[in-house]
Amino acid sequence: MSSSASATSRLSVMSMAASLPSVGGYSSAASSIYAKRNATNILERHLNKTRGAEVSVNAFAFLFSEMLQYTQKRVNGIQDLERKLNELGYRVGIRALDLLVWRDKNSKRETRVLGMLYFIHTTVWKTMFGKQADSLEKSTENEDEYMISDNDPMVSKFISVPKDVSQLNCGAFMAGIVEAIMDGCQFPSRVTAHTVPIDGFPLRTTILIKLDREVLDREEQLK
Amino acid sequence: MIYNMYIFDRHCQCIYYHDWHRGHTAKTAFDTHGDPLASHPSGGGGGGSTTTTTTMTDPRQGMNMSLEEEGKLVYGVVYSLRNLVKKLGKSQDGFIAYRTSHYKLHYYETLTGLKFVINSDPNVESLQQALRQIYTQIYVELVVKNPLACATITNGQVNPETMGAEGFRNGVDRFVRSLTMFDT
Amino acid sequence: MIFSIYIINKAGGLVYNKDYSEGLSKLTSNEYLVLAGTFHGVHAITSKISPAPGSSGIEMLETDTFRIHCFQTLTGTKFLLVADPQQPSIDMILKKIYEIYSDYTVKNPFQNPEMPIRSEQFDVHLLKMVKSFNGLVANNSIPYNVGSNAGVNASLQSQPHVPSLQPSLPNIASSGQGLGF
Repeated sequence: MSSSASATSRLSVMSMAASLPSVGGYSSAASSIYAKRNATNILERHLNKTRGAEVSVNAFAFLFSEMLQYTQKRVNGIQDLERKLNELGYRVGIRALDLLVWRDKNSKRETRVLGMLYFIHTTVWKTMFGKQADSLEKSTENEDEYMISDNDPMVSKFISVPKDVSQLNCGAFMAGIVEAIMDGCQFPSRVTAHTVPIDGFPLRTTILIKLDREVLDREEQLK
Repeated sequence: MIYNMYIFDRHCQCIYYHDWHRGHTAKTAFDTHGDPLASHPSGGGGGGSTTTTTTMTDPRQGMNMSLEEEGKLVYGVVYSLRNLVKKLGKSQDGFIAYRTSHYKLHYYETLTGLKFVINSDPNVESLQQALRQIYTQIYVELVVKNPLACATITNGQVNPETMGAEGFRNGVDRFVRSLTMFDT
Repeated sequence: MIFSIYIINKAGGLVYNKDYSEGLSKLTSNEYLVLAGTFHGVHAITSKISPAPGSSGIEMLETDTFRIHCFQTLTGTKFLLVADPQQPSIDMILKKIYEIYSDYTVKNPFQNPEMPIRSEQFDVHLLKMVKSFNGLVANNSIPYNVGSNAGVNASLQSQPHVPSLQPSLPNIASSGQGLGF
């Protein structure tokens, strides 16, 4: 009597696990005993798996909001806050770079500035924010400055910056990510974020990349 | 479905209460010192089964407020909402009804400040006209024109006996029971 | 036609109010606060005086010229929508307001919960939503008047989106040269 009952319950667990291969996550105990193959616990997921492994924008928004509130209490002034955000972004970027390069099947090491920036504009943006950046430009005024713009940056989608700190751009976090990736690829540079609203895109953010001298010198030699 | 009805006079007093479908939630009627108005079991036609009769020993003690208290709350609500509507809207006396998940309260105020309130289930269309009819055809006929029914307050004391004249109570009962939405 | 939107926090305080057309009388900000408090109290009492068991608080208030629809979230915040009696798809509008609220105030790090809502994006998106519904009522070009919270909005609309960077930065946005990717 009891054995048949347990058998049916096991069956139902197995069929559940089998019918929900990609959901997983909650019942790790049950699925690891009865359905080892289907262990889709988020922590055990293969690094190379990207489809269906995205994080909800809302979950990110809440986390980022808390990060900002936490940081805001521990800094003096807006500049300090942006520096701190940049730092936080850097820590994300340096890890993301390894993952990206590892995942990329035919990845090669970028040696030229343009190739590097294009990698950020497309691959990095796509992995991080699910879309390409909206433009990649070179400054006409300064030789060492490049700009990547996002019309509707995901990180500040839900954020309204109050009037008294209107200079703040939460894109500093993105700038930090970019800086880390540039750094990690041997293109040391200073990266900052600026709000440049245009018609229809009040949140448009431009990431300004100022390359270090040595990068320019190297670029010169490679020509 | 019609649940119950209140009439308030200008002095915030509940001068009339009648309920029909309140079976399961019947609250304690007035205690011995309360307004005995409500304690008149409806003598109206139709089934007397739906009308609650007053019992001095309330089986649901402590669970509900007394009818007197409830009357005050109902008055408070309609009074607040009426003022809110007056303030927000540009017309006078715009308050018609409000609805919750379980009931709908209909409101009618006469020019003399008498307030008629009737509760129905939430799907009923406006009963303001019905309340108006109760006022013009029953209240005026059977209370105002009845020299024995003193509907006003004398010396700050309600004399509900007169107001609760059987005739009026029967009239209201008959009228409400005749409404199409009474039982549905 | 949507007349106004009010948001009342769980303590009965008014955290947002905005008029979108001239269907209602203008009140002072203090009167709005009183109004919100009154409604909050009435809402609580109306569930108590129900003749049927288990009733919610007031959901819809009907008057001869307008209706107030109230939606209370599980967390106790109340959204009040004042609209004309013929306004369709009320439930959808209320849901949409809740959605905009949870997007642009709850996720905004600069917005303190339970405090008066000062989020530019919330204003903008709410206005956009109301316009899309009010626009369905043909040829009703009642101007959007400026409510107590509308200062933010007005300044936002009047501001032409001229690309301008921080002072420390040269004007690169307009002079940028595409790289042809």
